[in-house]
Amino acid sequence: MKSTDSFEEQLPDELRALHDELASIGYEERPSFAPELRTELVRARATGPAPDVRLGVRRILRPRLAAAAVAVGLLCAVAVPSARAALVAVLDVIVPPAPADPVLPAPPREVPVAVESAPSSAPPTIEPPRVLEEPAPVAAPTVVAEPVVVAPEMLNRLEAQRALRAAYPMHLQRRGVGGTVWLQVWVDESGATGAVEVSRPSGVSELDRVAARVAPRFRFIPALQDGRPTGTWIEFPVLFEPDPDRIERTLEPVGDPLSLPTLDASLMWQRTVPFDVTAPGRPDAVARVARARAEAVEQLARALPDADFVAAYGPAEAILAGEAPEGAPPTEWRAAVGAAFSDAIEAGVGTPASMLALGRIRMRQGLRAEARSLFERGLQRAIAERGAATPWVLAELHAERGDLLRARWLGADGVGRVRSEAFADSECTAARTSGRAASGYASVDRLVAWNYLCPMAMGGIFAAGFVETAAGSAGDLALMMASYRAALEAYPGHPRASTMLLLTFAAKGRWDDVLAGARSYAHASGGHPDALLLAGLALHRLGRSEEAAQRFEAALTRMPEEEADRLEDVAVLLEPADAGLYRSLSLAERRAWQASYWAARDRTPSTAVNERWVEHMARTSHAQLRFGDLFGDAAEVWVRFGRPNHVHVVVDGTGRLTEFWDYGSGPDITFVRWAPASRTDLTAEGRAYVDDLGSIFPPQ
Amino acid sequence: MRIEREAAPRGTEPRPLRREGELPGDFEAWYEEYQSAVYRYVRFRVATREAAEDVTSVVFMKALRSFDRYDARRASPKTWLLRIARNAVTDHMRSLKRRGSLHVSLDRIPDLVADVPSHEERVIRQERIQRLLNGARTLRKADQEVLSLRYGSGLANPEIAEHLGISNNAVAVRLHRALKRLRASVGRDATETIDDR
Repeated sequence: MKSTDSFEEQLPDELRALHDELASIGYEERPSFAPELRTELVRARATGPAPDVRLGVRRILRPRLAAAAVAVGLLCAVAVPSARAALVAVLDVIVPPAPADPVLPAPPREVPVAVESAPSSAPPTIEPPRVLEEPAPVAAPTVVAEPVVVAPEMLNRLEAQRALRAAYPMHLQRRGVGGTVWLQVWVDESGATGAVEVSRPSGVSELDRVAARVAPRFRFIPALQDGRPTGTWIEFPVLFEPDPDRIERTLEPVGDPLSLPTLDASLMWQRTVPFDVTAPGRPDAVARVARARAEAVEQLARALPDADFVAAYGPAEAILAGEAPEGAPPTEWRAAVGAAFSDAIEAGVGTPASMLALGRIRMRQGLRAEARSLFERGLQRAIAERGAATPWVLAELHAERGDLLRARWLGADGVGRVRSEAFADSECTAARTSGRAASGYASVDRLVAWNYLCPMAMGGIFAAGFVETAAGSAGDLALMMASYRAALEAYPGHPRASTMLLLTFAAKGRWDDVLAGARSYAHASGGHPDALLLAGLALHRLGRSEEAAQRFEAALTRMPEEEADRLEDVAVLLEPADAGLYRSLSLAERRAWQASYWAARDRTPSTAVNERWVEHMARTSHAQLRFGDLFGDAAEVWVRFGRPNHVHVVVDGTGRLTEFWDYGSGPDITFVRWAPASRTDLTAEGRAYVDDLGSIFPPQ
Repeated sequence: MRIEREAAPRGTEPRPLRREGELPGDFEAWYEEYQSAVYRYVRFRVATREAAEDVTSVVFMKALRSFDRYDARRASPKTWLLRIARNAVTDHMRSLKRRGSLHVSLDRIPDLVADVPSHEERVIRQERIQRLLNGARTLRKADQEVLSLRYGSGLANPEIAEHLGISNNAVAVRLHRALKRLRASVGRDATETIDDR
């Protein structure tokens, strides 16, 4: 059907490319759609106008399929319980009618239950598979002349269950993650499977992929139409259910994070030690962490001189965190507690928990190398002596090591210098320069000056002259990732390890991984707001605005009001005078003002969500998680302009890093950072430029 | 970069059994010949395959009911069907504006990315098509119409001219302008959503 006119030849090049792109869109029609529609047309002609032509074929068939699914599922649920194996069941097939014919219920050929398929090696405690209900009588077809349609029936059910069981990811089983995946499969007239589609996802993408990957191995007795084999689409559920014995004791499965009960938000929001609850009746996820904290404190106490020590310097939670309690002089506190733990460790009574606490104190004293050594020793001890550390302490040690490596990696990632000769071909009369730097590299001052005076030249200069320094950032990155992963192995849902790991994926643009990881994180942590923010961020990037909005809204309800207020705040988007007025409003007034602000900026009012608000939430969430708060310069720029297209980091030999954030037009926005600290401040030039931008064009 | 624009059902599965002769002869032939063009026209305009199927169903149901009133002197069957399709799409959009989303999401367009073997390429292609379709939805109705006739139904300019009742030259001008506006829209969108790239 390709057109043959000369229109495309007359298009200018820039439109020609667009024309080609549009023309190359493929249209993959569902193979059975055309025959199904034709059947509907035939029926409509025979019986008069359809009662509601707006219902298409799909909507007519779907409810019937769903009803059939429920009925047959009840009739035919097959269970393979085993004390050792996860339950993976292919519930029986739900058969849509052969596409060219009216919908008829499949006659009950037999109850397809795999009683005989129970593994012979199964231990005696296994319950036999059972039929959940007696088959209900099938209503007789009312139209006698209709052809008889017989459903496909699975031939290799046992093999299919084995294949599914083998493919069921162990890490999901351990976490108690299961689900039901509905598949649509084409079964041809020989009974072989063709195309496979996930018609209703389980909510766990990995399970969906497993089901779709294994489905081509299913074999069927083909559908019969008037006694003749025929190809057809079928829809059926695959059930993944973890064996209770396999679920790790500390990993109680939880439901959909969006439907979890609301937890005490003030306890959920602390990142390092997220839950601190001992009150009875709390949700499992919180009670579990409370138990873990209590156990850690108990282990810490073994290294303390005596109970009076806690009375003098405690509470114990503060000691474990390495933070002086309120009212205590921090320097003195750190010296006293540090000395006590040093003595204990030298005397051989140190525990991984005390090494964790001392390492944190050393970090605050600026002794990073000693801190890392203590974390390493704590890990060695915990690994060598089973039970020496609780899973929580082990995870904290891994995460602390990961944080140290992260700081180093951030201090070396993408860092370099710009060769002086890169300036040779660029003409910038406003920024005259005399001579050439002796080092062969341009000074940072020169780069900053050129950036603001001749922004058009900077792209070429960086492209031609930027040379990355040979720092070992790749090694640090690998070790950092391994540390965070180990923390999650020890304690799934560990907040900081989860967040940092997923932020690293985000930095690489691996949004599918961020989404999958955020889901696991949300489940394992009982719906931590950071997990929901990360899920929202990933969904936003994947173009799923409505789902992203749901996650952001759920996260906002789960954090303290002032945190939620900060994430939704729009002050940085306003002109200074307006921002002053905005800040003078009460919380309720600000909320109302925000609503009208976003409503006026909704690009597509017809949609259920305000994409501008979702975008703003994605930016504030990302900035909050990445920079730790929303108060710094870097967070402000991130929220106003989004993620930069590219960042060049230039060193000058003093330990100062200068970052050039490229937004595609105009000068790059420049920041300074002192490695390995993550605090990133605008340069004086950067601040002036950003302030000017505020008055030239509105952010976003 | 041209691709085969013939219908590309997955795999080699045949279309299921069909009983002949139960639709009026001409209608049967039209359905056979134009069902795919109508579907593609609709699919270019609506967000999901499911919606495209529903709207296509509506088109042919309406056509069947009005079949007796069809006047060959006023329009070719294809033009007639595509006119019904245009109205059906408009109705669909109107109903969506009341209760749902017009925005095309990435997870809703896998059927538009055929024959791309590598996962990575597929993702890139999906993102690009998503942006193009979302960009197209911001254009004026007339632009959407001419783009969907050309790139959805795959009509040549003379066919579009017949359908719209304008000259061949006017079609070329409209297409050219629509492409320019789409290009500007996609470009603008790219700068507006730099977050998280």
